[in-house]
Amino acid sequence: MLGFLKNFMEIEMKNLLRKSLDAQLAATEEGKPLARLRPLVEAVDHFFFEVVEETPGPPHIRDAVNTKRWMSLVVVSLIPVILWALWNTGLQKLVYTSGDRELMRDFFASSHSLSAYFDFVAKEGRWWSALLYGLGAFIPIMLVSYVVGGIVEVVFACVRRHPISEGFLVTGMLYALILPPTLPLWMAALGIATGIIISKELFGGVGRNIVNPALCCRLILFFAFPAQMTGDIWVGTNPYVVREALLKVNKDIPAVDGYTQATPLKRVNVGIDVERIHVDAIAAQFPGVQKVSTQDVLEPMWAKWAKSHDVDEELGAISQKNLRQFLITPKEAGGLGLLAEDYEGAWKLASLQYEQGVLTDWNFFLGNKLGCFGETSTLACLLGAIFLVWTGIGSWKTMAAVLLGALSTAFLFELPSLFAENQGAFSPALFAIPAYKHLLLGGLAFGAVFMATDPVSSPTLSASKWIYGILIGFLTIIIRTVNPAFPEGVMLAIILGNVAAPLIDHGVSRWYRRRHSFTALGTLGFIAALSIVAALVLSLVSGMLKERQEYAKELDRSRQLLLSARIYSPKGYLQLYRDGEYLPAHHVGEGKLLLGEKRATDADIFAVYQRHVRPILVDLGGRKTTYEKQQISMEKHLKEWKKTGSGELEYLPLFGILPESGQEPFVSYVVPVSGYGLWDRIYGYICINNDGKTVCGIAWYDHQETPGLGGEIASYDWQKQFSGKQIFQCDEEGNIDIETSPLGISVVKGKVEDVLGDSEKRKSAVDGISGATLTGNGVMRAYKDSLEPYRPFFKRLTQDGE
Amino acid sequence: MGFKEQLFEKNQILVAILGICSALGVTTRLHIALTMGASVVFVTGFSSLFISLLRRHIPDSVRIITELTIISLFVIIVDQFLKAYFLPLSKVLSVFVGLIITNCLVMGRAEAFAKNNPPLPSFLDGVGAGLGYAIVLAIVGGIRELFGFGELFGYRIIPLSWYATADHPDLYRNIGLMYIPPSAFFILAMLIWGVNRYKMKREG
Repeated sequence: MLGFLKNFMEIEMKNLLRKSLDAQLAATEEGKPLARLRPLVEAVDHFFFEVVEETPGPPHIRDAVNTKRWMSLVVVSLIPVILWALWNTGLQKLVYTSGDRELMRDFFASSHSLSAYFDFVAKEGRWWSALLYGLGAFIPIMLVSYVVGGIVEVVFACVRRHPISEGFLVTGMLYALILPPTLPLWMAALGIATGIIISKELFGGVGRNIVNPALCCRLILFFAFPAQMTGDIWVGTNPYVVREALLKVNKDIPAVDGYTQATPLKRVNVGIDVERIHVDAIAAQFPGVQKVSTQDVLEPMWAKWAKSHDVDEELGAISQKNLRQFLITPKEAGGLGLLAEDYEGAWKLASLQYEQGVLTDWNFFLGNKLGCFGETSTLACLLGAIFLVWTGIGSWKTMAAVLLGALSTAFLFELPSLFAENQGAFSPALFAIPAYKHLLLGGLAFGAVFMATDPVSSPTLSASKWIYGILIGFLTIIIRTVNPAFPEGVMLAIILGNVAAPLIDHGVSRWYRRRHSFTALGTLGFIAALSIVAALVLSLVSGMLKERQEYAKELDRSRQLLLSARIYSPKGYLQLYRDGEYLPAHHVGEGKLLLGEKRATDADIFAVYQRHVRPILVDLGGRKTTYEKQQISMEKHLKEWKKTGSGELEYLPLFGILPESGQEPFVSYVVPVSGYGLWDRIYGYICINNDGKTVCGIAWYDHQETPGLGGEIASYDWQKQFSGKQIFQCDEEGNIDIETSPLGISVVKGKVEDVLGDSEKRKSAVDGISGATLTGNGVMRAYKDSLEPYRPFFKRLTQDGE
Repeated sequence: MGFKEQLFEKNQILVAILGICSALGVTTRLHIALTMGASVVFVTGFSSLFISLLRRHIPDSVRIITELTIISLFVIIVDQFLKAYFLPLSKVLSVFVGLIITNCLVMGRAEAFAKNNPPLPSFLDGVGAGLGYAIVLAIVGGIRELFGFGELFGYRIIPLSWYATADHPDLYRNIGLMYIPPSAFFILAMLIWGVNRYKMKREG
């Protein structure tokens, strides 16, 4: 029944409305006396019913989501900001106009944690009065904005006979949100009336304005009434009440330490005469500040000053009087040379930079600070931004570009003060504010999200949006830091950006058009640029990895050498020789080994190598000598060997392997081997026992052979057959003559047992690798050539052994 | 998004039959196959990303050479990195890392996708193609290592007690075929057969 009633009502109401509107539309047709009022009727019609006609001006949207829906979505995205504006304005008014010192102290104390904050507002029904105050401050301004703005819009629509646009719903709300709560209503009215006329109507109405109308309204107020618009007293609705209240509260507190009503951003607005060291000198006295950034410069200066003035106070506990004196004494007289009139400014900046009281980054981010209605909460703006980007109304590119521009500009300002002499202690304090703080202060977030993205006054092409946004961010920071007259630069920057937008679009579209036709020169240039960038990246990478690569190479070489001497097993652990067997061992420090299997780390390998391997030399007569004795640099010598092989050297490189004890005599000798494989040089080791005849083990550590084929020479399965082979090859009868028998190990084609059977020759032969005969031949030659020069040495060894 | 398709339905090895050469060469052991797979993921992902970023700036006449330059840039980075941190592995992979440059898979993704699409989808497409390749390599490498060595990642899976000894010559032995590249051909062929079969069945 109810449902039916509801349906009936709905349909009836709709029909009734439609009929009434149709009658009105008919009455205001062209030529009838009421024709001038047609835009008004149309606006009502469009508000209730779907628009059927085309879109006459930008933004050109023909979609289920048309201009009207679009505008309402912008208002939806503003909801978090509006709610926070109501709440925060009210709460700040409640606190600042109370004149109650306890309340203020409680409030400041509660700003450090969320739970304390909620406790504070829940007490004594404060939340209710705060909300009422907020409504009382915001609603009048919003109404003025809508009513006056609406009247201007309607009048112009009727006179000019263009339809009333829903755009003013957004403009009116944006305008109200960027006004300070203390603004008299008549000023608000004046601002929106003149602003709308000058920025929008004069240019031909909605969609034809070149700057953002809401910002233009504020701009007019900014230049007309600077005192009200520069952020001195932006709390409550009546600045006089606030001033009285604060005077009462601050009665017994030193002037600079008292509660002020300046917005956080206003604190940044000091001249460049205020240097970092001034701010730090003040900040050093704050409770909770352990160390300031220019401590090292500040400390000796204070010590000197204190000594010459007979003051017995530590930095960090200086009395008000002495601190002020220290700061404003000229530099020649040992002070810090701050102008007396800048003292208060320096103090305010110090409390901002070192997060005193409510001035913490979290409070700034959440919005517990003073400021215009809508600008206080970065978080609320962020929520709005997410909604705008999600619905596709606001361009994320613009928002990101503004932030990028602001952040990088602020960072550029910060840079010189970081790298200047004396830790930049004498560079302007204003420049040294951390870049990210700029994003949390003032209207940057609000401007970036809701103002810069205005589709009418911002550029349309992708690339221009980036340029436009970066320009705005850049200008904002420039105005904030370099121009002492204006604390805030967002508004001016966005308006300048708006003005530049068509120019940017023009330039970018020309660039777009030209981009696809490449001239020969352009192509060459592209190739050159690509090559340079690639070369740069590669040299950077190789420079970064070079050290590590050499380390890895050295580690691998050491490992392979130990492998050939069978101190290291290919399974990853170290080994000890016990009773004719190699058993798993692990490193226990200083290169010593104990039985027991454990994976060897890089450090283990190096330590064991250090203890067990001695690089030595052998002269052509087979006598052992050392690098020191011959005064040869080992590094150079090994390099030389790598290039030429053993054949042409006067002294042959050799590695003596020490037994477990780490004392001579050597148990075996590792001979470096090199030769030509299939593709390139191959390098390896062969370890000969101290009998001078039998192979202990081999390794190949550097080769370019074909993986899976010749590359198998590096596999342990192949290498392990070398153990116990004879390096002196016997003749047909099985006899060995140390003077003449050929040296080396044969790599047969196929299996040794198949090829050589029981012949004595099998003692110096190993299986070939199938499909890698050429590599096998290379290996064979390498052993022959590398071992031959050592023959006198082996002769001596065999004789010693006999 | 092309990412998921690349893993299976449009798998570059199994469906497009690209990148076979390295799939045969470096799949003797699982960890080698995985290293190769990871290298290819890195190279396809980032070269696709950068080619896509530059897609409107690359003169058409030098398109291929530009793509190759970008691809080789990343290949060299991978190669240098492996040489610095995984030298033994890099020695086993040897030329195959360098040969990623000519791996048709990377070039294929650059030409077929990255040069016409925005950066993020291109990156995902590249990573997907690389992962699809890596998965196939891992399967082949896993099978080869398991049956060729009885191990996975160098850890013994098939217990030594199952193996034939002099006393029990009839027990299990490693399958020698698995050491050598042709086995990868057979395994790949069977995988391709399986995928085709599955697709035919699904399409009715």
